[in-house]
Amino acid sequence: MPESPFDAVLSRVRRIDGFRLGCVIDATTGTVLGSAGRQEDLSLPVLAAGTADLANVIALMAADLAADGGLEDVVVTLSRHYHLIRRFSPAPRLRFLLLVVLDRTQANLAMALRELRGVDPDAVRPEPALSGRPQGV
Amino acid sequence: MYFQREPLVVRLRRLAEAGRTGVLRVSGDDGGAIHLSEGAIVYAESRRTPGPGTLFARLAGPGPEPGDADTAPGTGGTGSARDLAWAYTVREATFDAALELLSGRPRYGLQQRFRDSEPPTAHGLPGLSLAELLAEVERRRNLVRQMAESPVPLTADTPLVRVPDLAAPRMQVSALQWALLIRIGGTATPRTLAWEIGHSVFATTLEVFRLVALGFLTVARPAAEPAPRPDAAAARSDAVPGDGRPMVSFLRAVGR
Repeated sequence: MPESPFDAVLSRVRRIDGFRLGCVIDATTGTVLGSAGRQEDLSLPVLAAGTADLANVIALMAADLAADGGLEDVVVTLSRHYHLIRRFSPAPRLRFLLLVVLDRTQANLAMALRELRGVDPDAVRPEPALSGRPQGV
Repeated sequence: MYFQREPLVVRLRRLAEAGRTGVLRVSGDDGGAIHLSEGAIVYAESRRTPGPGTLFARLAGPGPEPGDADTAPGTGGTGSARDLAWAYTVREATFDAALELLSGRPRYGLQQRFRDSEPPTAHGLPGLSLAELLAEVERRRNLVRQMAESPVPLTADTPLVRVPDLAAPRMQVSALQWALLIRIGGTATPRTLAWEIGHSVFATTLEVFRLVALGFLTVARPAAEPAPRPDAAAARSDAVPGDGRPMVSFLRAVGR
């Protein structure tokens, strides 16, 4: 059975210190496209759904604000974990979310964010937002 | 018996548990096919949903030829942008078709035929377990239900109209939303838009629902109802009746 390209992306985030779980989510539909490092105490469907909801709400806010740019990162700090969410678009009409859950006792947040942003410049590039285009629609 | 009429999900479960390889074809206008490899679901197609080829071509250029599995993007698992786009389009087309085939009207009457001799189309990608497929179909059904029961009831086949004037002077949309907005007109529905842009019906319906929440679109009214008032504030209020925006919750769709 061939390896999924999403597994190849996730293999790179596994190297981040404190890594516990990672997944790639389609931001439009909330579908989990790939995951790594399953943990019994972390429900992947709930994590993915919550991440997609969060990104959706921020997208609605950005649209109403006409903020001249979309979501790049979200950092959620829980008492035991960091949840890092990175949005990327391998193609202009695709919006993926990369969620990485880290153990706070082992992770360095600044380094983790730096590593997350550099996962793969070819596959991970921000999607340009179309600001103000609806005028005249 | 060559043809069978048992529920599709029952037949599929038996084939998956037996680790079968082949193609389960469902006849009729609502029909399609589910491709299995050693019990894993590798691909699904429906006559009511677009396949992966059109979307991939729009995203990343021409796709691989049929039967060209060795050179298909994604085969090497390198995680390049092209590989990711290909894996996404195949996976999304599979879920979209499975939702159509396994949902909606009772599937007792559909004729099914499984052929071991027909090689499944895997598109060079790993398959899904039946449990994973059914969990995703159930999640999507819950989201479809949320949209259908919202203050602006929306299904894949609801006619759409553009809100004539926007209350906000400036707003921001994604590339996909823009592609949808410029195609609204006449008898557009999420399903017709999906076929036009090659995206999945489910993803298009969700994105249309977000455009309704933003006040860009609303559902077409039956001819007997009065036309929307012309001023901008009223138009926005008509687009989203009641208090607040129509929203879907992915979290609510997965339950506990």
